[in-house]
Amino acid sequence: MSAPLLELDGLSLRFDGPAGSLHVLESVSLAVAEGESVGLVGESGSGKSVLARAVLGVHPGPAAPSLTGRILLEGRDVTDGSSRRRAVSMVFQDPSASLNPVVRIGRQVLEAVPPAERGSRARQRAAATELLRAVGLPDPGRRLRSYPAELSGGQRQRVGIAAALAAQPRLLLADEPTTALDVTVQQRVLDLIGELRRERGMALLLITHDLGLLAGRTDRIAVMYAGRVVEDGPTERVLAEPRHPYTRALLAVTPRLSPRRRPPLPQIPGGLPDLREPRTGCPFAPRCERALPECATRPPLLRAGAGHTVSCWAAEGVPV
Amino acid sequence: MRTLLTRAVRALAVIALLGMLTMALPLLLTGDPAVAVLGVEATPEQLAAFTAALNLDASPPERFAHWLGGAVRGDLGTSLVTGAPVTAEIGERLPVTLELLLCGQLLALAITVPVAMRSAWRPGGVVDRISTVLAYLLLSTPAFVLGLALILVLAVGLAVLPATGWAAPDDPVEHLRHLVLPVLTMGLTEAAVLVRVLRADLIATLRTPYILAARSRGLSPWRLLWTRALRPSSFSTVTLVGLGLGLAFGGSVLVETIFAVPGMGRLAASAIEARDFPVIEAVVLLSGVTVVLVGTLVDLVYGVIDPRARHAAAH
Repeated sequence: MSAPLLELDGLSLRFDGPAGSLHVLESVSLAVAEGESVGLVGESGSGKSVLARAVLGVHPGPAAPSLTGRILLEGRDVTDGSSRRRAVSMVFQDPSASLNPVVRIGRQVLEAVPPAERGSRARQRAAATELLRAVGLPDPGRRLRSYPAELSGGQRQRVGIAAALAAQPRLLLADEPTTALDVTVQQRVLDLIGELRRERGMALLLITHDLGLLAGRTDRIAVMYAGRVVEDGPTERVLAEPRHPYTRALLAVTPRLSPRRRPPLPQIPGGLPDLREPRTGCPFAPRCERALPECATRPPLLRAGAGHTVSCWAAEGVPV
Repeated sequence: MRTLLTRAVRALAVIALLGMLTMALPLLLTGDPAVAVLGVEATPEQLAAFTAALNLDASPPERFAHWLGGAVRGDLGTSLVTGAPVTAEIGERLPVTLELLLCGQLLALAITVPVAMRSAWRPGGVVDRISTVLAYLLLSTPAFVLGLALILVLAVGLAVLPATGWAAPDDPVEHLRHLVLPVLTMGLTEAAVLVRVLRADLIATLRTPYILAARSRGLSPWRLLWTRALRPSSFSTVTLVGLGLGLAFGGSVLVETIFAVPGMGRLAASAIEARDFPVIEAVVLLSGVTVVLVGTLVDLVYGVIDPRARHAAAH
C-alpha cells in the first residue's frame, strides 16, 4: 500500500500563553488516503478545527502553537510549517467572515494561484469564471465584480469553495462548512462538496459536530474527544456498531427525522475536561456510563474489525 | 443622489450657523467694539464711520448676509491693520499653509503605513516595541518643543537647514530647505497618533477569519498587508487625516509661529491680537468651509474603502 496523502503521526499541539498552556491535541494519529473522504466528528472544543489548521499550517493570531509528532503530506514532513505546495486547502466555517469584505469575488477566488502563474487579465477572468461556474454560482461572469456583501450566505460559501479549489488541492479540508448556513442550503452545499470531490479525485476531511451529516457522505469517520481520536472506522460500521461509549452517546443525541419515534433528545452529562492539564487517563471517563477503575490510565488502542480502531478500556478488540 | 443633496444642505446649514456666530464676535466684546478697536480718544465721527464700515449696528444674521453678498463678488472687506483687501492677505498666505499641511500629512502617512504594518505583523516584537516607545515620546512632546529640538539639531548643530523663515517657490532649492523643518514637525507629531491607531486596527484585522483564509492560500505577508489588510483597517486613520487637514488652520498656528512661516495660522493669530475683524471673520469662515468640505471628502473616501459603506449610503 502506498503512503497515505495525509498522515498525522502522534501529533500533539499546545498553545503556550501568559495564562498557562492549553493542551489542545494529544497524540492524534489519523490518515487520509488519496481520494478518500473522512469525517472528523466531535463537539465544540474537541480540537477538530485546530487539527485542520495544523494540517493547513496557519493559526489565527500571532502565537504559534508548539507541535510534537509529525504531519506528513504526500509523504513529506511539513510539521515545521514548511510549504504545503498547495496540496491542501480549506473551506472555512463562516463564509461571511472568511471572505474579505473589501475585495471583489473574482480576485479572492484566485488568491491561491501565485501571481507568477496567473497569466493575462483575460485568462484570469476566464479561470475565475470557470471556478465560479464549477461551484454552481449563477451568472458567474458578472459575479466576478461583486463584493461578498452582495451575495447570499449559500452563494458566499460557494465562493469559499471555489477559492479552495483554485489551488487544485489533492486534499480538501472542510471545517463545519454548513454550520453558518440555512438548513435548506446545508444539504446542497454538502452535495456540491461531494460532487466536486468525486469529479476532481480529491480527498476530503469533513469536520462536523453532527454525526448524522456523515452517513452516505464519507468513507470513514474519526471521532475526536478532548484532543484525541477515540474511534476510527468505516462510516457504516461506526454508525451501526459504535465501539466507544462516546460515539454511542453522540449517536444517541443525534436527532433523527423518523416520525415513528421522537423522544426528547437525551444529553451527554458533564462537559469537556480542563485542557490546561495534560490528560492522564481516558478524557471521557468522568462522563462515561461504563467507566472502569482502569480508565484513570491511558486506554489501549484496539482493533475492533477491519479498519476499525477504538481507544477504550471497556471495548472489545485486539490490541494494535 | 438624494444623500448627496441632503449632505450639501447639511453642510450649508453648518456654514450658515458658523457664519452667524462669527459675525456675533465683535458684539461679544464688552462695550462698543468701535471704542475697543479705535481707543477712547477716537472722535465720535471716527467711531460712527467705523461702525458704519463694519456694519456693526446690524444683527449677526444681517451682517452675515451682507458679508456673504460681498464674498460672492470676491470682496471680503479690508484689513483694519494694513488697509489691504482681505482677499489679497489670504491669497498670499493660503498657499503657504496648504503646502505645509499637505506635505505634513503626506509625510505622516509615509511614516505611518510601513511602521504600523511592521508593528502589527509582530505585536510585541522588536520593531513594535521601538515604535511604541518613539510614538509615546513624540506624543508627549509638544509641537513647539519638537520644533525647537529639530532646529537645535538640524539648523544650529549640523547647520544644514535654515532655522526659521520662508522662501518663495521661485527659488525651489531655498523653498524646499525652508519647508523641511516645519513639515518634519507637523508630520512627526501627526505620525505618532496615526501609527498607534493604524497599528491597533491592523492587529484586529489580522485576526479575522478572512485574513487567516488568505494566509492559508499562500499570500505573502507583503501582499497580505498591502492588498488585503490595509483597506479594511484604514477607517480611523482616514478620519484622523481628514480632521488633521480640516482643523490644522488652528493647529498650524504653533508651527508657523515657531518657524516664522507666513501662513494662515500666523495671519489668524495677528488678526486676533489686533482685533482685525474683517480678517478674523474671513479666516474663521474659510477654515469652517474647509472642515465641512474635508468631512464630505472623508465620507466619500469611506465609500471607496468599503463597498458596504457605499451600499449603505445608496439605500
